[in-house]
Amino acid sequence: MNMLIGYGAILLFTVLVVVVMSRGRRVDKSMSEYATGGRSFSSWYGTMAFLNTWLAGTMFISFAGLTASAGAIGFYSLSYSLLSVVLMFFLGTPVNKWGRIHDLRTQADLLGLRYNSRSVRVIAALIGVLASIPWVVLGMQSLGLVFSTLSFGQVSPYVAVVIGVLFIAARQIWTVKLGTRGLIISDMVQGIFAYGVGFLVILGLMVWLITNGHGFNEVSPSLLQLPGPGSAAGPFYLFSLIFTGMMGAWCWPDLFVRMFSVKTPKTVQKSAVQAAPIMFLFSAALTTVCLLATSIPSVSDAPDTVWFILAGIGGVGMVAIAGVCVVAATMGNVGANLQAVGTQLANDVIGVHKHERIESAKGAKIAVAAITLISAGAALLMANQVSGLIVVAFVSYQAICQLAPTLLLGIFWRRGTAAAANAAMVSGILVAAVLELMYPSPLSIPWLGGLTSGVAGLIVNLAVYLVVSVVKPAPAAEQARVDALFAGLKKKETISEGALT
Amino acid sequence: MVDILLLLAPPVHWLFSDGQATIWYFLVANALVTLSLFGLWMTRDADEEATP
Repeated sequence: MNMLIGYGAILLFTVLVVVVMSRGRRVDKSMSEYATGGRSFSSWYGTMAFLNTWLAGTMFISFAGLTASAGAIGFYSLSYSLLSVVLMFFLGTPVNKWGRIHDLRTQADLLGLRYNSRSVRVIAALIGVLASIPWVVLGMQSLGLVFSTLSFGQVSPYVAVVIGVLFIAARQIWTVKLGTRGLIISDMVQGIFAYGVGFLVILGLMVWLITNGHGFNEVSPSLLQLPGPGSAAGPFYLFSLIFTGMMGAWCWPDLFVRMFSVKTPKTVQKSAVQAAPIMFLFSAALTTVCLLATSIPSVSDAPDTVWFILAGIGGVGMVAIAGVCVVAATMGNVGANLQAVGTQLANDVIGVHKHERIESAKGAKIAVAAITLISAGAALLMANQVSGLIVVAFVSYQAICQLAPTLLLGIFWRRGTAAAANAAMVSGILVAAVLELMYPSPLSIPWLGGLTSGVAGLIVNLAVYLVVSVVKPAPAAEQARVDALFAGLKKKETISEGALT
Repeated sequence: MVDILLLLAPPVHWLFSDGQATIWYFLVANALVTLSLFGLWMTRDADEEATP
């Protein structure tokens, strides 16, 4: 009976999401409409799309587990997430405006325009695709814990991972069919449940913990320490974690394209302003409740299950709701990743290889379906090796953030060149990869004061970008083209109505 | 810039690196960054784009 309630809750929620997606369905025949949802969404859709893409289901599992095992350092994810929102505010105008004026569909498309370079576009696209796939596989596998918990002991952990992978892969039928428009509409439903209902559950659990002898004074002092001078991790370790997270955020193709999907630059900025308090309240509450839960003995034995251990206080119904929160957050992240990766592959790798601008959505749909099948296959093959994949996922974060100087300086600085971008991305990834191989665990490098391989790579990356841009500036004609591109940002444009409200 | 200093500067991390101060540092600093976004919104360039 308990399993019926648990699995039934997930089934009901999934049916609700699919019904809402299907009701908002419009046929996106062109690649641009499929990739951007017709650039038609209002700020609240933008807010929820950003949150549902950024705050994945693993917030309730791995990030909650990190706080439950390592303590207050778990708040670092809140810090880099909010700095990412601040960046979103400033990126909104150039990204959205260039996207609309030049019909951009992907992050790599924007870089191709800015640097007038096929190689920059392809390298950026391949980095984005290769770094994203481990996270898709991990996202699929993370549902294993949900299906295992909601079976209340009826299903083995391995079978639960298989069920989770098949479930999330089947859900992608609608991602493939409906593209970004369907994703953003479903993000609203999924986001309301994951962070709205989830927040209410967290508040209830926090009150219970504080009133039942699990207050702040009961948290072990060892869990209330941050790495500083003289610590094992190194004085710059926390800085590195937050800096890598902030720089890497907008390098993820799935998150970046959200800025193309809303109506205007002002809508992007408004989405950021609306996302910040939701992000703050939800993430701060979740991290705090996980910290308070550390005084519960069973939590230290299995920190990754802290969310479900806490939900168990409220009985079967509460565990089912907790499971749906994880599923809702995972659906948004996995769907967004698959859609962005598939579209980028079709638009920026196959399209560039064929020397043609792909106009039909069909190619992207096939690419999204193919990536879904490959990811699901990989997730099933590695169903018993989740820990190994987490390492690959961490490494992929060190790699994806190497796009940051090329992306951010390209958007905010006129003098960066294609040669600088190519040299910077390649050198940054090489440095990060070599250091990662030399210092695989923990992530910090002792002789660099605790900097991670990603930050060390970024320092080299940034230096190479600046030196090459200054030493070998763009030819006059290319500089004039870039100047015209930036000048276009100052011009006023009128945006047509017909948007989804 | 203030947001970056508050959340990223290592000396600030070291200042609040022990005891319950760590929790309050993260909560207060992140609350301030959240509020700063409202400040940015209020002071943004209103002429940046035309009204649809």
